Amino acid sequence: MAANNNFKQLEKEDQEMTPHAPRKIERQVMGLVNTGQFAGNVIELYFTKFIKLFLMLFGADPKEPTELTSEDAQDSGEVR
Amino acid sequence: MIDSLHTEKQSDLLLIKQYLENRDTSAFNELYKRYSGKVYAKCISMLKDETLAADATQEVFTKVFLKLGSFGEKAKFSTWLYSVTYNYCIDFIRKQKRDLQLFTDGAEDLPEVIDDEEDDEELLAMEVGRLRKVLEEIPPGDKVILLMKYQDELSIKEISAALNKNESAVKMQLKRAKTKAKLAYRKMYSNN
Repeated sequence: MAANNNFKQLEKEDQEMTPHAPRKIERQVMGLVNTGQFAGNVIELYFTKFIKLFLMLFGADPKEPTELTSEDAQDSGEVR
Repeated sequence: MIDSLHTEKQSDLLLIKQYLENRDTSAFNELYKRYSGKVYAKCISMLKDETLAADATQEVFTKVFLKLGSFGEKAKFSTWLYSVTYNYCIDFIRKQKRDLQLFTDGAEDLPEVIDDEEDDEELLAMEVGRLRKVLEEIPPGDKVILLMKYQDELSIKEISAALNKNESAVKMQLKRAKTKAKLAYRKMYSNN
């Protein structure tokens, strides 16, 4: 590329004329980012609980699936 | 050692990683502070209106925030950010003026110009005020492709990815844009 590039000078002048975007944009963008972060945290905390509640409403057993009953143990041949 | 790492300006990719992994909003804020001025200046240059440019800057950063998870690290963050900016501005201009010509098309009878480094020099050496006026005269798509090539110094491959065109189409478009700009310059300043 040629040594003298006035496109770069044009960019420099444009940025000198408007060195910063208006402050209200930062407030709005960061407001959205913070809301997104809050929503993400809420989903992370409550999503599994919500799914369990939803399944229970449709008649699923609320017991933990890892918990073996005596019948399960007999079926699997486990002796207690 | 640790102090020097902390004081050193963090790379864009590190900030993105920090934001995506830890949901650290200060990392996103740092990216915003680093680039918002440049994005705003580009939007003013394209849209010619401070209010529209402010709205565009907000939209661009909202898009970036929503799509940051799919940013593949194949390109530099600045390249990706500027391509979002240019595409937003082109779409906005297209919606405002449906009959506006975005790019110089092949049907136009443009004289052949030799495409080499020497040929670029005429364009790159234009006096800044004149260059600004020339860029106002040519279609917005041509302006974008020239800014990507000579201001942001993107490769043909990067421009083709940003504009979602194949490389030969970008080369052809760039050649037409250069010719158009030079013709506009000669027309405006032939007496000087």
